[in-house]
Amino acid sequence: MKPYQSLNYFELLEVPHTATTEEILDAHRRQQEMYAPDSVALYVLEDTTQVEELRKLLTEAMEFLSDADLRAEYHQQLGLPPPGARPEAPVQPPASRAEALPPPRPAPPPPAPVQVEEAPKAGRESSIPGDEGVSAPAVRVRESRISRVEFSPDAEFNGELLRRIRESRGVSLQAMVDRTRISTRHLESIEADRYKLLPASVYLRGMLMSVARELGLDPARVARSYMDLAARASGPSSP
Amino acid sequence: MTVDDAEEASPYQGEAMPVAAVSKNAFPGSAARARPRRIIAVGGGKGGIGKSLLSANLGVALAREGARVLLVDGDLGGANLHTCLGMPPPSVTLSDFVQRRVATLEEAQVSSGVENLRVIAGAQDVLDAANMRYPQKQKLIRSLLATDVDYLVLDLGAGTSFNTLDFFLVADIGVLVLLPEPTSVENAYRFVKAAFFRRLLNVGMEMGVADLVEDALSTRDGNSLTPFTFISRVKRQNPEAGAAMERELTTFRVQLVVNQVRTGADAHVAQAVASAWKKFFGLEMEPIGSIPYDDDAWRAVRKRRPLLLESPDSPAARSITEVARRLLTLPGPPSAGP
Ligand SMILES: Nc1ncnc2c1ncn2[C@@H]1O[C@H](COP(=O)(O)OP(=O)(O)O)[C@@H](O)[C@H]1O
Ligand SMILES: [Mg+2]
Repeated sequence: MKPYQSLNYFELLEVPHTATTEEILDAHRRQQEMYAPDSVALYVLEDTTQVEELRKLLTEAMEFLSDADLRAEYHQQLGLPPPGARPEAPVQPPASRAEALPPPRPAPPPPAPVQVEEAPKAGRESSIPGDEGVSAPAVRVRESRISRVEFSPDAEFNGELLRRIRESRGVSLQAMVDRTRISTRHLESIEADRYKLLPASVYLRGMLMSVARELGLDPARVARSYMDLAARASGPSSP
Repeated sequence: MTVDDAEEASPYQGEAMPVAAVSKNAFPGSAARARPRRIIAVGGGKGGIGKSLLSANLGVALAREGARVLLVDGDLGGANLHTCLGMPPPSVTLSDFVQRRVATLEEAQVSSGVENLRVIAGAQDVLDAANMRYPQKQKLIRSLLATDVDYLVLDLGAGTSFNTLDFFLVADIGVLVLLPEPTSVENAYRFVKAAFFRRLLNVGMEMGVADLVEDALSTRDGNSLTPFTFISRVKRQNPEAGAAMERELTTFRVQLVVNQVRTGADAHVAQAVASAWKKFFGLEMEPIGSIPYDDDAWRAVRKRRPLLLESPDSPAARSITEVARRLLTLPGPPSAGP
């Protein structure tokens, strides 16, 4: 029994972890309909911002699980067998794609206990927070906090700024890896603005949003800003 | 602890005493005694949403599947189950048993005219049964639990009175009826939540923390507490009690029927309610059917004939038959023998 904030992506979308990409997209569509603002089922909810938040999480879940790489990583994090039916090849050309993939590396250390996710099977176990609502859920949405790093309202979020904000929050790179389940390599590339080494934009977007969320920043804005910079840097013709 | 002990020891005399905790152990060491294989209660928190129509026709459907069924009109304020079945005003009712005018529940049963289906009609005198005191309720529930039938179907009244909630809680299968409209959804949620908190009160009493439950429910924000937020609060004050209550939440399961479905969007309301109530409140709702709005349904009521006999091929009748089949496949309580 878990509140939606602690559900993993499969539980959020109400799909088994063997679901195909198509089933995930389908489930996402269904869920978006169920949680449409005028749904009669939501009538008893007093706090409608929660529905908004849930809808964002559902989209994030869809974006993560419909991506081959992220999904494989996610399965590993949850201790699930690797996804059986691999989704289709990504939109990026194979060459640069290979470049973007992290080299094989030893299995990551087990995540810190608070970050451990229960596999869907264990979904009935407790995770109702007993205190202050902090139980380090699989998917979390943080409230914006006042940053100790100064940046103007129209600041461009490049990797450098993201790194400075992260450090100002006292969040180590490893902690960020644990929390976002993004590989160290990718996180380093994001923060170093090594655009060429970054994965295709659909994956990058999800990663940026996760990072932003961890830092209490507006996920959509950070992703847009960063990806604008990346697109400008790699030139209009480049993928 | 026997039921009688509970009555004496409890500070909760009369209405406030929840019945579910003691009824679980109503017959210590008497596993062999006759009892219904399944008790199905049909509630919804609101009147006029088809609870009686569904109960009556579920009774007919289950009986036609060969089960021995007893239908009980548990609407203590507005009994009309007999009308849905096309029966004349009953000569003997539930209140005759409650008021000890008949000695056994058996004597309060009348035949429905459908093979395998017997009925205990509701109290015609509202005051009689609605004012049922705790000992009378205990006796009634014990007798119901000891009835030798396959299915006991309890048609409940509107509202969230303790009597109604307790009938819902003693059932093995709680069926919640709602219409795809805000007022009904709202009442249905209030009903399920009230039933769950009543169950928590049992746990609270067993663990000596009933005051926690009562405090939480009587505070000003008690209304906006969900099972999730409530259990979080209890956990902070008493982790052990909180854990016990969380276990209650994981085993609390309600079957959901959406009635009077008119549009394609209505047909998805059951799924949406189940998804949302689970994600936001922790309530496990199992959608087991949608019944279309069907002119044949009210026509049958007006003709005073069970819908399933009057218009067996109508969309509503077919849907109710499907719901009955679903109920037949549900696992029973662990205590029920083979
Ligand atoms: N699916 C339906 N289609 C059309 N009319 C219905 C349907 N369900 C219920 N009704 C109408 O609603 C009335 C009230 O139903 P009833 O079962 O008495 O409600 P409750 O027991 O919940 O108070 C019925 O008499 C019938 O006319
Ligand atoms: Mg009724």
